Amino acid sequence: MRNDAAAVGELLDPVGRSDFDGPLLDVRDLTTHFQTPRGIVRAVDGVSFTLEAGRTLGIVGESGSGKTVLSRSILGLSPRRQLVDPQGQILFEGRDLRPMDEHELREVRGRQISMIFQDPMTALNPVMKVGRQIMESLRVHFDMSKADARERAIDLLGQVGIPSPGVRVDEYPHQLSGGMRQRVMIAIALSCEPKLLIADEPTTALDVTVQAQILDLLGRLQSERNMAVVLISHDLEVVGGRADDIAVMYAGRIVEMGPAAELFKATRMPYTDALLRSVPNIEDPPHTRLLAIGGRPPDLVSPPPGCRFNPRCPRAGFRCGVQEPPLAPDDDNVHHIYRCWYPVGGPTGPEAEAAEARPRRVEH
Amino acid sequence: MGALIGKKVVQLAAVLLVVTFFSFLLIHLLPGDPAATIIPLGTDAQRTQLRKDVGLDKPLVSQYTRWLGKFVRGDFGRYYRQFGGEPVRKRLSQALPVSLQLLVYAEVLALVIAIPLGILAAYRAGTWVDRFLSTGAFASLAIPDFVLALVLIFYLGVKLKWFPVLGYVHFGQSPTEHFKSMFLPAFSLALAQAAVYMRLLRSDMIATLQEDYILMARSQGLPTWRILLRHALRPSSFSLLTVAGISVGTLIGGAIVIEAIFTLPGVGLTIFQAISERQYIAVQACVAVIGCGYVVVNFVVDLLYTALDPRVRHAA
Repeated sequence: MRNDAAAVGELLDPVGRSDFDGPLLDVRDLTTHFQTPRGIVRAVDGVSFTLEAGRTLGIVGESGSGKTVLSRSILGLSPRRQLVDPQGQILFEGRDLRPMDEHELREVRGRQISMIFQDPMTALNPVMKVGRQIMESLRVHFDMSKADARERAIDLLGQVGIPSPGVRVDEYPHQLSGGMRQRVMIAIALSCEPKLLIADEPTTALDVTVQAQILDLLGRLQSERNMAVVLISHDLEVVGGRADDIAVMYAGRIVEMGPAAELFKATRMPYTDALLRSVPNIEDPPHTRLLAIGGRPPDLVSPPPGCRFNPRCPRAGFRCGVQEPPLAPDDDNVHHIYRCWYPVGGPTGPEAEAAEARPRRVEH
Repeated sequence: MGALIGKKVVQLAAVLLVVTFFSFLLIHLLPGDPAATIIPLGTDAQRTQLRKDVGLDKPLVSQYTRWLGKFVRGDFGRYYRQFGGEPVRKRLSQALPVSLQLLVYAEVLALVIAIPLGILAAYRAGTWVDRFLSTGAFASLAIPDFVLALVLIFYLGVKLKWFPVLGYVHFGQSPTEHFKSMFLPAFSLALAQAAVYMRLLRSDMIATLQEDYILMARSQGLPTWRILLRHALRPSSFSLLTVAGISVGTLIGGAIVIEAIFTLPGVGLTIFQAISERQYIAVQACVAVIGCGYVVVNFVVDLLYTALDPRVRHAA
């Protein structure tokens, strides 16, 4: 292997299946269940979505909705021994990641798909210099020499906006601020030019002022590299402006998914609606009360029958507690799909069922 | 950083003063007249000589300062026998290297056994491998070192004749024979230590493997061995280091019995013989030397934290 800069450049070119013309990531009916002392936790229960190269998918949901488990399942990072009968396919450039063993997955992790985590305080190794943490991936995936990897690490630190990267490369994580550490984490994740970045709550642990900087940085790096991003957040605001498509998760399932603008404009699922209403709006008059969603997310060991949101849903009718609605496309836009019998914009459950009951009894 | 070391050095000096003072006091804990206890059958002239040597007629504090002054200059007193008696320093200078070698071999052996097994047990936590290692650890903890020593002597020394059953060979004389003569005593001391170290490393490592940065390293596709050795081992080894430092004391104590069993001419055997011969001046000197050694080792361990954890380094 040549060790000059040109060789490094060649190495960094996307390898492999550029001839593949399907979606970059095609997740089909993904199921991740864990065996726990309390029973089987259905953390992710039949999730499907696709993501094209260079695009951004936002995944939104409360804590416990399964979004983090979903993201880790993609890279096979869930604790294997507790997994019960993993189902579904994770097609990355047409190759299924699900049946891969650790050895095969290692080739994909970091090189093809990278992850960044919520808390930059805990996701960087406290006893390793940040430069070495970046260099490691480069050395493992590209077999780079120490000197080349170091040069590249300094370059990456500069790209993620860290001032005097030549000095910072030899510092430890605790010598950097939270925002800086998140930049370092991004530098590590992007070191091997992955085609897909999974960002699990990348800004939740940061100050609001730093949040926007980090998201802007991610956006810039994404378009420079034509990289696809799965942006996971509990915060619709964070995802709203940045994602092309948004999937809303509830209790291990996708309950509404569609192009971001469409989802905000023509919200169908009452859960999404409630999430939107729980965000303060700058145009609201002062002292407007925010709407909180009553109750708690369901126990994933024994999710409620019917629609999983029905116990907390203000629009739920009788049918919602009995029969789970399918994930079906909207009448106006086939790309907008949701799970609801009585979507926002139409009559509520009790209204509709009362209207139906007038001519004849509710059939089941 | 400099200030931190300065503070530690002051602490070290204070602890050393206390340790030497109590070692010094030992002679006054003897019932009755120390001179009569040490030289029960000697002449009055010999007893007077001893009183003069130790300065028993002076006040306690000036006795201590006098003793300490001699101690730091390497004058540890002498043996009192019927006819003369050699200086304690002569015996100690021969015994100390033997004991230090035994100590270092035992520690190294314990760590060499414990670190790979601890990592393995943590990585395979909850599986049969882990349970097997844990059971083995408890079993080896339950065996007293002198029993283990005798069992090893019987099987490996007497029956298989792989190792000499007693005696000490200088490294300079024959390195192979030296290590052969030291292996059984070092192993007898090391096994229980290894069990403690392994259990300790295992539990710390299990906690470390739950950390986000391990998940981050996995998500970057790093090989498992690299994650375990480069990412997880160092942050998991703080308690191991602490206990390894403290065990120096245990190993010195254990070494008295082990040195006696294998007749290794170390400090332990010297103390053992001095006690049975009522050579309390020699006992006092040995105890003071061991005590100071123990304190200094733990001082070094304290400094090692800063090497191991950059957060400690920059906190000062």
